[in-house]
Amino acid sequence: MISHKYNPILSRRQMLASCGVGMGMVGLQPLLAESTSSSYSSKQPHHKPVAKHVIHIFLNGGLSHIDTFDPKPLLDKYNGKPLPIENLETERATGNAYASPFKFRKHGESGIEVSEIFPHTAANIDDICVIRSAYADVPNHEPSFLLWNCGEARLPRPSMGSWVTYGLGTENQNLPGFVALCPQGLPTQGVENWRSSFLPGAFQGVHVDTQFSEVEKLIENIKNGQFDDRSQRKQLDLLAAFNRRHLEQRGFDPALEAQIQSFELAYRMQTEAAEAFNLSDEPQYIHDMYGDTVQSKTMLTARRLVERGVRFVQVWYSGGQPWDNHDNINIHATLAKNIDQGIGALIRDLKQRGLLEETLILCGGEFGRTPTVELPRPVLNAGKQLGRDHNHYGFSVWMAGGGIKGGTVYGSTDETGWKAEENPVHVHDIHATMLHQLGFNHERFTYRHAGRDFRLTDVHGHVIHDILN
Amino acid sequence: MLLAFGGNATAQDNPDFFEKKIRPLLVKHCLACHGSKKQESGLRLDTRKSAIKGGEVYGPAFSEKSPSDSKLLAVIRHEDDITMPPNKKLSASDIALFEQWLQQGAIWPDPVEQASGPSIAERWKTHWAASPPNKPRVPATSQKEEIHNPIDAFVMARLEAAGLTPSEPASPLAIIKRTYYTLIGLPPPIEQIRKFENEYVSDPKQAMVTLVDSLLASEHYGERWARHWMDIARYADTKGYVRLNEQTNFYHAWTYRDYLINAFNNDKPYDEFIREQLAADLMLDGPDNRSLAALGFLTLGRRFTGNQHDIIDDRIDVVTRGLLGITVTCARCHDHKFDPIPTSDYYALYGMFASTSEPSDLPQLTSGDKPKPFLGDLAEYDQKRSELDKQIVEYIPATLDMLRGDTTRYLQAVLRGRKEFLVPLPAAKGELRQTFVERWIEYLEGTQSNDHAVFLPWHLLRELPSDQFEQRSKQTVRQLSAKRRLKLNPIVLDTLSKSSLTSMNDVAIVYGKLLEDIHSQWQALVQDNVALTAFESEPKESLRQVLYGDDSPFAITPREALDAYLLDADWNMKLSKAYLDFDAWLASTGNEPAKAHVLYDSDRLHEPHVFIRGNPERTGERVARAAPSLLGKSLSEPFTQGSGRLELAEAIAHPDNPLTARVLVNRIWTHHFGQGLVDTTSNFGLRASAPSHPELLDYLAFRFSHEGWSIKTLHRWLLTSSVWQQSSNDRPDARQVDPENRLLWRTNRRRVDFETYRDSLLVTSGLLNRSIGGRSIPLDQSDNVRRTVYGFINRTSLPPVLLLFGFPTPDAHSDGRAKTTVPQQSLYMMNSKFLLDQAKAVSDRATRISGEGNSEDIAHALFQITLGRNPTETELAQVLEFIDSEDSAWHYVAHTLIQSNEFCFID
Repeated sequence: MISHKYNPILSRRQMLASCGVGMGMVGLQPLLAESTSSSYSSKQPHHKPVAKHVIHIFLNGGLSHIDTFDPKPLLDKYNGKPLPIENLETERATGNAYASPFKFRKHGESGIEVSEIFPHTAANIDDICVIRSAYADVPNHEPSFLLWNCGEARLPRPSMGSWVTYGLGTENQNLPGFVALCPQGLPTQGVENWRSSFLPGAFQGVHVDTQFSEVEKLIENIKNGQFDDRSQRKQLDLLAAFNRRHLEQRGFDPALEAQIQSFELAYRMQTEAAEAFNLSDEPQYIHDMYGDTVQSKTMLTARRLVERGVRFVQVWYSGGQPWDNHDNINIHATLAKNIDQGIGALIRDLKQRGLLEETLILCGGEFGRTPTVELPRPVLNAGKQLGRDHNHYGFSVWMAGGGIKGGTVYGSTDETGWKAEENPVHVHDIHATMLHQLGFNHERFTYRHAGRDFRLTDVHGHVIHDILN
Repeated sequence: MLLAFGGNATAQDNPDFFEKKIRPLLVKHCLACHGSKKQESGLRLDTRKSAIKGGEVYGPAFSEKSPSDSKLLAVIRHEDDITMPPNKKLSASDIALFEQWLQQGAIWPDPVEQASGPSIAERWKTHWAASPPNKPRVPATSQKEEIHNPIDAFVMARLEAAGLTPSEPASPLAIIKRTYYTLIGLPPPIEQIRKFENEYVSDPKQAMVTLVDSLLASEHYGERWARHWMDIARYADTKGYVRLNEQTNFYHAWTYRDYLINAFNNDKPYDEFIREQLAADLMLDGPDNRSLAALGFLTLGRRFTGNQHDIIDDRIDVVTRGLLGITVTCARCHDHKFDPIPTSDYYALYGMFASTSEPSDLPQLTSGDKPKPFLGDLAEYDQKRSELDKQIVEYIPATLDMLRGDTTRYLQAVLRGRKEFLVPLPAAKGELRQTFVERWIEYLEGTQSNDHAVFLPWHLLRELPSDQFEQRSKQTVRQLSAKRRLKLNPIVLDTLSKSSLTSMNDVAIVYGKLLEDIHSQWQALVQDNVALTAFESEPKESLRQVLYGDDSPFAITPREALDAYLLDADWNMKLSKAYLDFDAWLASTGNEPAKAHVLYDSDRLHEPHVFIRGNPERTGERVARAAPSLLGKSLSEPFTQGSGRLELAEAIAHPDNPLTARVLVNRIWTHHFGQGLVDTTSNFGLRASAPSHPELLDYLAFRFSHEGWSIKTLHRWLLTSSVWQQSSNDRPDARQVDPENRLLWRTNRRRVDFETYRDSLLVTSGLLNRSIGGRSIPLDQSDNVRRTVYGFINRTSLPPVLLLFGFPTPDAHSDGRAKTTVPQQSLYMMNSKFLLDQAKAVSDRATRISGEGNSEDIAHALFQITLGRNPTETELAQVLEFIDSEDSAWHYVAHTLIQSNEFCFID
C-alpha cells in the first residue's frame, strides 16, 4: 500500500517517514503541505480503531497451558500411565501422562478455571478472554519466537510492534513509539524480536533492561556526562542559530528542518524519558498493588509508558527462555509468583484509569507444553522426570482490554491437552485480530519491499470475531 | 468425448444451471479460500480448468473425463479424510445440486475473455529491462554551455522538454566536498579546498578531471565503495543463529572485505568481479589463490541455525537481487506473481547451491608462498593443535565404528523416513542419531540413479506394495539373480534369496547384518595388518565401500560429526568445546593466517526437484540446474560443469544479459546522485518503477558493458558531467514542476551516512588511523580510530548506533538505506562519549592550529577544520559571545559545529 522509498510522487507518508519521526512529526512539520495539527496523525486506519495501545506480555520459553489456563482432568486419571492416544512428535521424546501438580479453581462470575499459580491474574478473569486453542507451526523456540513476534518463523520480517508503530505512529513525540521491556538480558533471538527489518529503522523497538532504575542505563545517550542542562540549552540555542541561517540560505528543505526539530525533541526526551521510567513518584499503594519483583515492577513501567502515549509495549519475562521447564514443571510456580501480582495489578490499574478499553493486552508464551512427561536426556535434563517438552499443537494465550470480550473462553484442546480441537487459532489469527482492534484490515495493511507487498500476516490470518465486544 | 464437456455446443445447452445454481455456491462457500486471492492447498475453484488441474495436495477436484468421479463430491459429502467447507457441512439439497451438475458433465462456461491484459510472459517481452541495452543516440539540445558529456545531453533534453532549466553550478567548496564524500567518504583538507577553488576558477572542466582522478587514485576510494558493496552482500562478521556448539564468528570475513577494497582500488572489471564472487575457486590459475576471498559474497550470510534450505535461499537472494535486480526468492513457494519467474527457476538455482559444500578447514590465502599454519610461535601452535588432534583421534573413529556396528537399526530407521521437526540434540549412549538416519537416506538416494551393485535390489524391493511383499519379493530377487549383466553383488543376492522376506523391515535386517558382519571381518583383518586397504574378494570389498568409501555416510569430517551430534553426548560436548577453544585461541593470537570462507562443488551433485510450496518433504517436478529463464534461452541453458556456478557467473556477466549492466550502472548513479534512474535498485522486474531517463540508463549500461566494465570510468563519466556540478539550492518554480527532482534540475542535498559521519569526525579531530585493511575491530572499542568500514559487524547484536542511522541490518541483501531522522540520533550526537571526545580533540586541534592565538583565531581555525570555510561576521560574533559567557569552553563550540547541518549534510 505504501511504498516508502520508491513512490514516484513523494507521498505524505513517505515525507514523514523520511523526514520526520514517524507520524508523530506531523504537528512539527509546518512546511509540509498536508500537515495537520493532530498528533494522532496516523495513516488513515481502515476502520475506527477500538484499541490505541498494545501491551504484549511474552512468557518466553513456553508457558504450560495444562498447568495454568487449560485444566485436563483426564491427565489425573492416566497419571504415570500411557495416554490412550499416541504421543505427538515434539522436539524431544516424552513418555507417560503427567498430571498437573497444581490445583485449578473457578474464578469470577464467568467461573473460568485457572490454576493456583496465577491467583492475581485469575482475580481479573472476567476481563480476560482465554484462548485455549492456540497453535503454532513447530516445536522449536527460535522459529516460534519469530513467528509470534514477526509473523514469520525464519526469514527476516518486521516485528508486530514495528508494524503497529509504522501504521499508527506515536502519540508522544518525546518517547519511542515501540518499547521492549526486558529485565535481565535479552530473550532468545534477541533484538530480532523487535526488529524493523525492511520498515524504516525508526520503527524498531527500543530495548530497555528494566532491572536498572537509572535512566542512562535504560536509554542510550539519554544523559550528557559533561554539561549541565543550562550549558546544553545554551549550546543547542547556538546550534539552532547556525542551522536556521544554513536553512535560510538554501531555501526549502524538509530534511534540514526535520534535523533541526530532532534536536529539540531529543532535548525534551531527556527529561520526559527520565520521568517516564522513574517509578519512585508512584504512590505507595500503587507499589503495594504491583509488588516488588522486577517482573511486577516492569508491569508498572508498562502502564506508565502506555499512559504517556507509547504505542506498543512488549514486556518480556527476562532474558533467555525461563519458562522452558523441561526438567521440572514445578518451576512454573516460582516464575508465576514473580509476575502474577504485576499482571493482576496492571489489569486493575488500567481499568481504574479508564485505559483498559483502549489498551489491548496479549499474554502467552511461544507455545505450550506436552501433557506427557519429558524423558531424560544426557547433558540437557539432569536425569529428572518432572518436566514437559514443547507443544505447538495446542496451547493457551489470553487477551484482555482493547475491545476483547472478557470472562470468556474461546476454543479448546482435546481432552488430553495435546492438540487444539475446537476453533483452532493460529498465531496469524491473533495478529489479524490485534490489527483489527487497532483499526487495520490485516489483508490491506501492507508495505512494498523487494518487489512485492508484505503483510504481518503474510497470506494467512482470520480475525476472531467471536471474542470481540 | 471432449466436446461433450468443454465445447461450446454443450455449454450452451445448459450453461444456466452452473451460473444460477453452482457458481453462487462456489462463491459463497469455497472461493474465499480457493479463489483468485487465496489458494489453500493450491486449489482454485474459480474456473473449470483450475478445478480439473486441482490442488497440489489432493489432486483434481473432479476428473476431466468423468466428472462424477469427484474428489470434490467426497469432500463436501464428508466421506473423505478432509471435509469441506471446514466449519459447516453444506445442506443436503446443495450437495444434491453438485451431484447433479457433476453427473451431467460439470458444464462450466468459460469466463468471458476478461480485459485482464497480456500475460506476464508477454508483458516481459516488451519490458524496458528485458532485452540487452542498445546504444541510444545522444539527443541534441539548445543548451550548449552545460553539455560537458553525453550524460548532460540526455538530462538537458528531458529538462528542456519539461520546460525546465538546470541550476547554476554550485560553489567550488560545495563541489569539492560532494566529490570527496561521494568518492572516498571523507571531507577534503583545507589546503585541497583552496587549491581546487583556484583551479576551478581558471578552468572548471580541467579542475574536475584532476580532482576526480586524484580521488580515484586514493586508497580510501576502495574503502568507501567496498562498504557500498557490503550492503549488497549483507556482510557480517558473525553467522547469526547457529546450531548448539557451532562457532558463531566468521573469523575471516574481513578477507572478503579486503578483497572488495582491493577490487575497487584496482578497478577490477565488473564482469571479472562477478565471476570471482560466484566461482573464484573454479578459476584459479597458478599458486596465487587470494581471489578465493571473493566467495564471501556467497558464504557470509546468516546460518539459520543450520537450516540448509534457508541458507540456500539467502544465497539465491543475494545473487539474484544483488546482481540481477530480480526477486527470485518469491518463487520458493509459488510462481512469481508479477515476473516471469516460475518455481522451476528457483529450484534450478537451489540445485546449484545444493551441489556445493563448505570445507570445515578453510583454505589459507597465499600469493604463492607455501602456506603456514601459524604466523607466530609454531611450537605453541603445534602444541595446541596436538591437544585437539588427540581428542579427535580419541572420539571420532570410535564413534564411526559404533555407528557401523549399528547399521541394521539405521536401515530400519531409514524406512520410517525423514523426521518433520528435526532439531539435532546431544544423544545418549545407544540412542539413534536421527541426523545420521538422514545421512543414510541421502546416501541411498544417491545410489538410486545407477544400477548400484549393492542397493539396486533394495530400491526395487522398496517399490513393492506391502500387501503383496512376501510373494513378489521372491520373484524380484529371482529375476535379479538371473540378470548377470547387472553385475549385482552376489553376496547380497545370495543372502536375500535365502531369507524369508515378509516386509522391507526384513530386507533392512538382511542388509544390516551383512554390513555389520563385513565391518567385524574388516576390523579383525586390520587388527592383524594395519596396512591393508581393501578386501581381496571383490564382493566383500564393494560391501565394505558402503561403510568406508569416500561417498559413504561415514565419510564425515570431525566437525560435521560434531554438528550432527553423532558422538555420545559427553564426548560431543568435550570435543565441540575443544574446537571452539582452539578456534578462539587462534583468533585471539592475531597470528592466524588470512583464510577465506569458501565453498566448493560437491562430489555428488544435487539433481533438484521443485519443492511444492517450498516444503522439502513434498517434491514435485525435476528441474535442471540453470540460470533464470527470463534471461533468455541462450543464457539459461542447463549447466554442464559441476554445480554450474561458473556458468551462472558467465551468464550474469555476459554483455547480452539485459539486467546486469543496467542494475550496476543504476546503483553507482544512486550513490552519486542520491536517487536512482530507477528507484527500485534491486528490482528491475515488471513492478519496478519506470526509469526517469531510460535512454541514459541504456546508454551508460551499453558503454559500461562494451567498454571494459570499468567502474572507475563510469565514475569519471558521471562526475565530470555538468549535472553533477549543479547547485543543490531550492528553486520554487522548478519544484512546482518536478517536486521529486526526477529530472535533475538540481543536485540532491543529502545527509551523510553514519560511516561518513564517524570517519569525518575522526578526520576533523585529526585522530583517524588511515591504514588500509586488516581484521575487524569492535566499533565501540575506545581506542578504535580506524575507518568505520573496519568495524566488527555482529549481525545478532548490531551496535544500536548503526541501526539508528539507517545502517541496513545484514539479515539479507539490502537495496538501499532508510533515510529517517529520529531524536535518538540527536541524542547520540548530543551526548555520546564518542562525540564528546571528538569535540574535545577538534577544539584542541583548532587551538594548536591557531598557534594558541586569541579567540578570533581559534574560532577561524574551528570553522576551517570543521566546515572548510571561515565564519561569517555574524557567526563570529555569536561564537565570541558564547565563549565569553559563563561555564563556556571551546569544545562546546566544536561540539556545536560537528552537530550542525552544514557538517552533516552534503550540498
